[in-house]
Amino acid sequence: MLQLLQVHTKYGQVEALSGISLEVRGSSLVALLGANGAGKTTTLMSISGILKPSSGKILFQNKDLTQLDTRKIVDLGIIQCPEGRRIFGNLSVKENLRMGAIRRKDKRHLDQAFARVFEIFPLLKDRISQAGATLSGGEQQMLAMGRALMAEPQLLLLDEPSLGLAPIIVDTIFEVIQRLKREGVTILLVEQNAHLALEIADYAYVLEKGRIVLEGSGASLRSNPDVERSYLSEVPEENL
Amino acid sequence: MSAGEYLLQQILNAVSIGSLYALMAIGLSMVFGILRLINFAHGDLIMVGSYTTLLLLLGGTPFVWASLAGIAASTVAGLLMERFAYRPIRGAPDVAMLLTSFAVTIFLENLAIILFKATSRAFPVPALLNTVVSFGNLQIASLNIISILFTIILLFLLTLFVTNTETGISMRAASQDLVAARLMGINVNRVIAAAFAIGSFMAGVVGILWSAKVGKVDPLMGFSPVLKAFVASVIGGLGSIPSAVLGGYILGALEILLQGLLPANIAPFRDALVFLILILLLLFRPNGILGSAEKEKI
Amino acid sequence: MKKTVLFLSAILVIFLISCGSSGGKTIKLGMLYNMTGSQASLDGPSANGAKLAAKEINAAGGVLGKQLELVSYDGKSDAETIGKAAAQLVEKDKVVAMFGFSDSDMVMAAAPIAAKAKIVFITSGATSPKLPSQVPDYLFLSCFGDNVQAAAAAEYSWNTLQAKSAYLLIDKGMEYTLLLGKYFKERFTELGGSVVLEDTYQTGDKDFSAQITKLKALKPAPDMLFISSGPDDIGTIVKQVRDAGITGPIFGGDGYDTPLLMQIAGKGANNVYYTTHSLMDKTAGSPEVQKFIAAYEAEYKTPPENAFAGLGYDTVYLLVDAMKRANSADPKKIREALQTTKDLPGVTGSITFAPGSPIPQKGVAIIEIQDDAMKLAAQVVPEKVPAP
Repeated sequence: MLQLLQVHTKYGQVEALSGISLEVRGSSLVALLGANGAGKTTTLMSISGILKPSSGKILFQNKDLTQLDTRKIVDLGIIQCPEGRRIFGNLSVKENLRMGAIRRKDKRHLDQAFARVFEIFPLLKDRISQAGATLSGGEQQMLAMGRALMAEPQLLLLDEPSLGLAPIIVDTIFEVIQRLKREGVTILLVEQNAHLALEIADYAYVLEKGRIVLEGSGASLRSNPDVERSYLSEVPEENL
Repeated sequence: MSAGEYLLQQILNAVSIGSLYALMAIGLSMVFGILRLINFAHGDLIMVGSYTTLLLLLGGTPFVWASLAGIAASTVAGLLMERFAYRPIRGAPDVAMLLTSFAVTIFLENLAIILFKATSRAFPVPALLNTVVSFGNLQIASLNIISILFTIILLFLLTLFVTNTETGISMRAASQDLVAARLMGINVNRVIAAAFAIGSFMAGVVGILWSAKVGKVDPLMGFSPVLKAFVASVIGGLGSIPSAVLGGYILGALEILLQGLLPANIAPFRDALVFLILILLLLFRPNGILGSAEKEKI
Repeated sequence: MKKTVLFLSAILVIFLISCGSSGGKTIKLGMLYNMTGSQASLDGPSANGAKLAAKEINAAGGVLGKQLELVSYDGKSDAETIGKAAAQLVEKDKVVAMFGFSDSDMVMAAAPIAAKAKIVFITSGATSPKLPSQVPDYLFLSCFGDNVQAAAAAEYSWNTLQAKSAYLLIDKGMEYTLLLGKYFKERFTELGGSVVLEDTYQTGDKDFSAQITKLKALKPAPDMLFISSGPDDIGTIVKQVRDAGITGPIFGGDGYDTPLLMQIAGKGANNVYYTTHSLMDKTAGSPEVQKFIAAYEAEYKTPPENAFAGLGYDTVYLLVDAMKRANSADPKKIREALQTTKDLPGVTGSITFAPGSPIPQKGVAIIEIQDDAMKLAAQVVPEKVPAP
């Protein structure tokens, strides 16, 4: 479904991605692991078109994304739920969700989208007219994911969904991720919690200094001692 | 005039001038919220609108039509400014954008000097705008009533716009987090153009009211209002509409009440006092009254 | 053959033109006015008046057998620009005298530079009587001092308008307005009048509602308002005062002498009085004034905007008179001759410098606006003048 071929991306003067190639198959869950500054977020921002690769190709259903505007990429069904949640704090929960659906042409079915998000995250319904900034960290993560789901993504890019959350909330979030996968949403998951990610991933890549150094099925990487040693860091990747 | 009536009269003066500051500050603040740009050329939109109105008035166009055309001219000028001066350098460092806004100011002011000469010109005001309306002992200039009414209507419409329309909500979203807004697929170009259009429209309205109050126009007439609007925005907290409005009214109140209530030997230091209060305020609330600490963004 | 003649005459013309502008054959006077900025409505007419005088003098054969050349720069109402321009006139253009400006702050940016080069500076319209002591020996006024016009205003208010109480509004941003207000108050209270409230504003303020409300709260209302303001603000102030329903007499100085006052305030300008240098009126003015108005209209297709046009005009004639009597264009001799000027007729009254005084003894014109027209209310010499 999604293919990155030799993607190089600069972040400022620094080359953050030095030739990345990876593949995400339809209806699968692929995890992207790595230490701080390895280039995980840069990879997602390149796919979403916020950062433009200096060379290489990003193919989605055989269509090259590298020259497309973020809006067009959203139109193709590639939705990112960014690191640090980045919800709109001054907007109410409802307005945040509305922004998630802004590119949808079928506005008549918006009610169904709202209903689906509220079914997945019932808490949001209780907070519907509250400003985003007044929500707790876990609720904000739910809102960020709900906002992404409003667009009914084909491919969901999830950047560090468990960052800074209490374990019980992390469990809830990961249950939702698995449920989405079951429902057929393709997911590219960036996660600092390697154990958790590998448990639910079909396939995983390990990034180091802008290059892919390891890849394999979730199960095979889980038993790899290198992974065990290197990627249990709890330190969050710096904000983009 | 009793002491109470005197105070009420001064409060009315404050609300009236504060309304104009608020309308100006909204435009400045909306653009800053999204682009982190302090658009000093915003004041020159007042000049564009006022001169357009004046020329049409001299050509015999009725006041209402001339004013509408003036407001339209301000709006178009604001959109052109965004398209040709600020869009090409979007994403450049804040300082580069600030310098560009100075360049736009110098360009527009000198263009106006070439076209209309540097000297002031009288702005003919219809009788409706310079009569006095009496309520008991209170006398209010009709222009003040109109200024306050227009501000209320515009604020009401603007509130409806930013809370009920998709573009309006997008605008607030973009001013909160431009990257997240882009990730949602929000059309940033359209949102920024809309912010410029609304701000410029309001500058156009202020231009008419301001010219009617001052009675004349000149190529540099936008300087004082944009400075006031900037101070007002800083008082309220740059970047959001409610804080711009609050800042505008606070600045108006400070100016009028200090001038009107201080004894005659202290009143000459009014401007110094206004800035002293501003400095004190910023010491305790560095992001303005309604401002919150900013996160670093892309 | 024809072509050769044409060619030769073309060369001749170019030769003559280049001669005309190359120093030796002309006498250069430095002219400094603000063609842009807050002073433009006074300085623009002054510059036009001066150019007209130079043109007349040159047409009549020039001075001392040479043509007069005015070298001018725009001061842009900005002290730094003015300083640079004055230095340019001294160093590059090598003028023999300088003149200009209608505001003392502007004069002070240029006159010291002229004095340093031992060149006189004559201000055509800055009326501060304190000026000459700030630049001793080299700074002359061709207009009356503010103490004179303020005293004239106070005496006229007391005697003719029968005003016993006055409200004062003073622009605290200019030396001119501060002094004018101070002199008025001094003379008016000396006559027995009372100042019921003295309020201030800052040059360039656009909203006077706070001051006006304060004024309206005065019980009983004062007999008159004395508003000491510059040309750029007075229209707005009169408009807002009248818009608030205050109809009593408003009095002020020569800063009011700008067409903007009547244009901006419209009907509100009625019942406004001010002191100035002369009334620029085709029928009511003196023979000199009438002749000047006709020449000005022929040259600029508009009647003189205000008395400052006449001041610029008179200043050039004042300098030329000094050069003629000195029979020299040497800066030192010009200065000496200037001091002995006596009964030189002019558009703004005749000029005589008393020994040791660089301020001329001139009469004050009091202008009254009634029925949407300006008229000469009185031509007065005040009985008593406050010390500078």
